[in-house]
Amino acid sequence: MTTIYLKFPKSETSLAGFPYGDDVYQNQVKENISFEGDITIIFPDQIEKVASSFVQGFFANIVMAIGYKGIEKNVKIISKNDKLTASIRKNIY
Amino acid sequence: MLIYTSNNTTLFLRINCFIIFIAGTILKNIELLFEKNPQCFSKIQSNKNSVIFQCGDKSFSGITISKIIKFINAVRKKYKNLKLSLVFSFGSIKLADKLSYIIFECICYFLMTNFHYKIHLFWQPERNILTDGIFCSPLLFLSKGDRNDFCRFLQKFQMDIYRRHFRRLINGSNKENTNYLGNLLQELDTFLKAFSIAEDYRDQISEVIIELVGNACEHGHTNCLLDIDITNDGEIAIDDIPQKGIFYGINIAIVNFSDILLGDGIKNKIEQNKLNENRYICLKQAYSYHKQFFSQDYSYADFCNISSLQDKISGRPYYNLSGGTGLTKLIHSLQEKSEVDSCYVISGQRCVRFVKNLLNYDDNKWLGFNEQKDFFKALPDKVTTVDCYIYFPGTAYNLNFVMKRED
Repeated sequence: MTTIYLKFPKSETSLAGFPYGDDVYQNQVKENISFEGDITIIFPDQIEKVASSFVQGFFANIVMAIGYKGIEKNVKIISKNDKLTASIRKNIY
Repeated sequence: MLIYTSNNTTLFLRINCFIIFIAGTILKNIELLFEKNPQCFSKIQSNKNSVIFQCGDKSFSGITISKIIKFINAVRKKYKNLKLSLVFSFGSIKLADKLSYIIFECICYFLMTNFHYKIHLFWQPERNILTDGIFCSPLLFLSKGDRNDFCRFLQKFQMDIYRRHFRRLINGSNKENTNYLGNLLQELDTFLKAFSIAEDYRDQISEVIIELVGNACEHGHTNCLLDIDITNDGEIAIDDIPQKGIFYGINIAIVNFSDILLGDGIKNKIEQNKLNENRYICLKQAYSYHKQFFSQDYSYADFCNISSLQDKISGRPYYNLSGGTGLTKLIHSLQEKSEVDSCYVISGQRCVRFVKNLLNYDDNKWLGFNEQKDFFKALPDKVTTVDCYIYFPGTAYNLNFVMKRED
């Protein structure tokens, strides 16, 4: 099982941009993730909004590795609140 | 015809805000507008100190912009590098939409920063909920003629946040690895919160803007201009029939100038035969059908534009699995909540209109841009893809939503 705690500068409360999402994946996730088991991705509480472009960029490589079904089955997302978590998950697909 | 009566009767805002001038940030590639539209007037009117553009158009639209470009081309041809005063005289005029006057702002900005022309503007724009932002436009400064006002124009062109107006010149180059769009998202949310707009609606507006700005910077390899105005509450009449309730307008323009057009990413994928995965296989099927009907009215460029607006289709060269969010659907969702809307995008010689009743997904989230909701066996409705009055180098969105104020 892999648990990823994402980190962002404290001043950042919203995340957006496909390239930035990809960059965060490359720098904070790529080396630490195993696609063999369950994956938990934790957004820090300071993050209040996540645009779909960030989600798309961040999850692009994960989708390529395990597909949408793999994400649905094995990836858990935790964020400040359920509404944000649901929004992130919805924007993956 | 839409008529709007605002509660605020002050036509010209007092501009006493703090304006921050960011030296070195300029809107790139505006010169392409003149290079790609090289036609020029054979005669121009001038007097001792100035060259005059006198326009009798009843509506300030793409046709007017086309004439202005021809005029500027003629001036530059005749007077070469002379520093001139240019006088634009329109009298009382109706503005066709927000994008028309925003492009005019860009032209003035280009002439002032590149050729040091002095520009004097004489006009009385009519009040309209879709174009109310003109009353907080930097163009106001060109109506005065004071030297300091020219500087104020340049400053306000690049950045402004004052009451109901939000304007940014956003530079995305070399910022791909930063959260510049997230920061913009934060700013937008703060701006929109002041207008009692429901949170869900606010989020959708911000999302649309962020995606379009990101596309402009990322795909167009250039910076872009974002302008938003939220009108005062007022009454509206549609086709001379007064509507019950109080309304406000959300008017958005997003403009970038670039050699790269809206559909170019898809065009490259088609020509490099890269439509072999996932939804792109379906796109290839659609292309096989559509290409049989390419004509002057519905061209290859139109197909590429329409395709780039589809869900999970992106012009990005390396990703064929994700990308292209349901942006068009998001625009449609905003339209559904509006009483009136006017939404379109122009790129190159063509325009795609977002017509509310033609933006319905089929079961697999494809948009046909037609009543049949069929992207694979039917062409987009004729009203969707139309010609532009100018060749627009880059991509420019005009998004107007007139909302009813909830009690």
